Amino acid sequence: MVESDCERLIFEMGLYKASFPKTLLYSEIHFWFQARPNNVTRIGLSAYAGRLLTDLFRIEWKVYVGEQVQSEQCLGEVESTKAASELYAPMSGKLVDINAAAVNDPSCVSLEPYENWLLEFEGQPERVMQPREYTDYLASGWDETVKLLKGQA
Amino acid sequence: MDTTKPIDTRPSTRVNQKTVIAPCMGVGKIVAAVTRRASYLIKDQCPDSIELLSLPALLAGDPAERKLIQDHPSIIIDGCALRCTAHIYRMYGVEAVAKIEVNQIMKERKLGPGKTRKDLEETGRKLSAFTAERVLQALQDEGLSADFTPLDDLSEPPPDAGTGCPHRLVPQASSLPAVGIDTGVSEKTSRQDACGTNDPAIAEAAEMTGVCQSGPEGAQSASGKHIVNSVTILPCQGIKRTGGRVTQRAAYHIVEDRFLGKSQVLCISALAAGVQEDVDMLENFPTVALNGCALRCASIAAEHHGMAAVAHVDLQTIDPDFKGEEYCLEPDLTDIEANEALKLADAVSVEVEKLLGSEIDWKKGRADLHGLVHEPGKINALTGYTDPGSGFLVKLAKAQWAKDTPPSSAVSAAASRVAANEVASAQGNCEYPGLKSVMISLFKPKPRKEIV
Repeated sequence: MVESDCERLIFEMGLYKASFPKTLLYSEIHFWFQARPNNVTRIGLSAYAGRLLTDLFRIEWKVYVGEQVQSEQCLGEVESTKAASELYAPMSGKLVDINAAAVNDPSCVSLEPYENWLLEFEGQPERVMQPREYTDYLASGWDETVKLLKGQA
Repeated sequence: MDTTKPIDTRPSTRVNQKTVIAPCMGVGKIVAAVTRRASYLIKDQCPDSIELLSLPALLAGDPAERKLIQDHPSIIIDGCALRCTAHIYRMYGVEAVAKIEVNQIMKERKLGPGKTRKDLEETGRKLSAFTAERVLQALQDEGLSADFTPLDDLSEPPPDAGTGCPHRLVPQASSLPAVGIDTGVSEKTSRQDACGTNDPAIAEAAEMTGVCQSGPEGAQSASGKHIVNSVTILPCQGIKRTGGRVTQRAAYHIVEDRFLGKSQVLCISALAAGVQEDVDMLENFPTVALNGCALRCASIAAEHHGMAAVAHVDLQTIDPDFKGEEYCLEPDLTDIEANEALKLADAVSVEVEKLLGSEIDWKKGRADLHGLVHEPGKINALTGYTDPGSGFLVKLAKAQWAKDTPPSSAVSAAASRVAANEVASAQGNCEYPGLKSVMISLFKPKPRKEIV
């Protein structure tokens, strides 16, 4: 179920192969983290979340640049052609930047989830998963997710 | 005809200059159906100054469609971020004067496309009207086609856009049977296993999860033949000729109603643009081509991509009295077309029944994309969508939208109410039976051991 090459781990979601760069860290609520200069952490959605959401067409943030955000605080909402869902902060810290390009054209997040980040926080995430840990986490829940998707759970 | 559409009815100021409307007109996604319907609405408003482009005919080498994009400025309407039309235009070396994407309208209007593609729901119809409205606004712009110069010929594509597909005048596939199974195809190498499932509802969930509704996609028998457990349905999906419209509906009857989980519908536009999921459908499953008129665009498309259809069903053979080549530009399928689609679906069902469970001389293989590598991430840059300065219509739309006051007409107000309801019930807009449950918990913080 999980394949690997030198740069990425691949998790097979049926026909779709979700890839996870080994250079990033991940959260259990499907964000990726990237360390940036000056104690800044950049976050975005993982390919797993992107696949379940499919075509994103709306991202609406309820938080503002400069705001101190608490972990698990509601950040806003995303909507795709399949579903809408609220997003919660995967870390605490001061919000220092919002990727306006992603807000203007959310579809780019669906296509290139790792090229198109969402937010930048000052600080470091408290709880992270290594790439392999994250794909193992996905694999451990996949059977149950399949049942949920098929309405059998 | 939709009487509720909030469309600017001012006549076009460029009466002598025709503009080509090029929708992606796909068959897979609901937003593609929105582009199709929006195009009809535009044509209805400007019958003399608009020509609709049929991508399948263009890709089959139809000289009339080629001439359209050579001689007239084009406005592209893509449904989703895959931007198949923009990509196909790029392969021809033609620069559209404006591009628009239904995704953008959805975002601005906070309006989803609805749940069905066969017959758009009210929300999808509103979305198509809003899309048409935006294009009609652009058509009022005198400068829209000022820089357009008719082309002497279609230029060679850039190197990364492939080397042949749409540039070659593909001969009529007249040697192929009009109805029936032709299994003497393909000696390609095996590629990968895939799940033989369909895209709507449960079958889409199955595709996502990898749990096949119909078992494995087909195995090799002891004699080395392919045991068919799932088929790909390839309608010609034309937008102008009534036969094309009929094939699209018939394809939905097959994959959504009659052979759910044992068939999937393949989109010619997406295939030409190299969209991987559609390429997979052609490569991994025997294909049944549905042709609406003598152009036989579906059979040609499969053949041209190196994986000829194993069965061909031609509408003109099924019902010689039906004039599939005649134009029909009604936004919604007519009763006559709907009845014809049922007849065609009956004939296709016979072919599919013959195929399923049978052993045929067919092997999975690699489709010939003629050098094209579809990289969605690059397409944004290549087609100018993410650069606000490159997509004229996008730029225009943003400028106008910023100035716009809230919709004032009763129709627009109704549309806004629909939009509000859409957002409120977005959780219900799931095509997967249990996706709502999954999405509710997907991003929610949870104890570490909890699933999903």
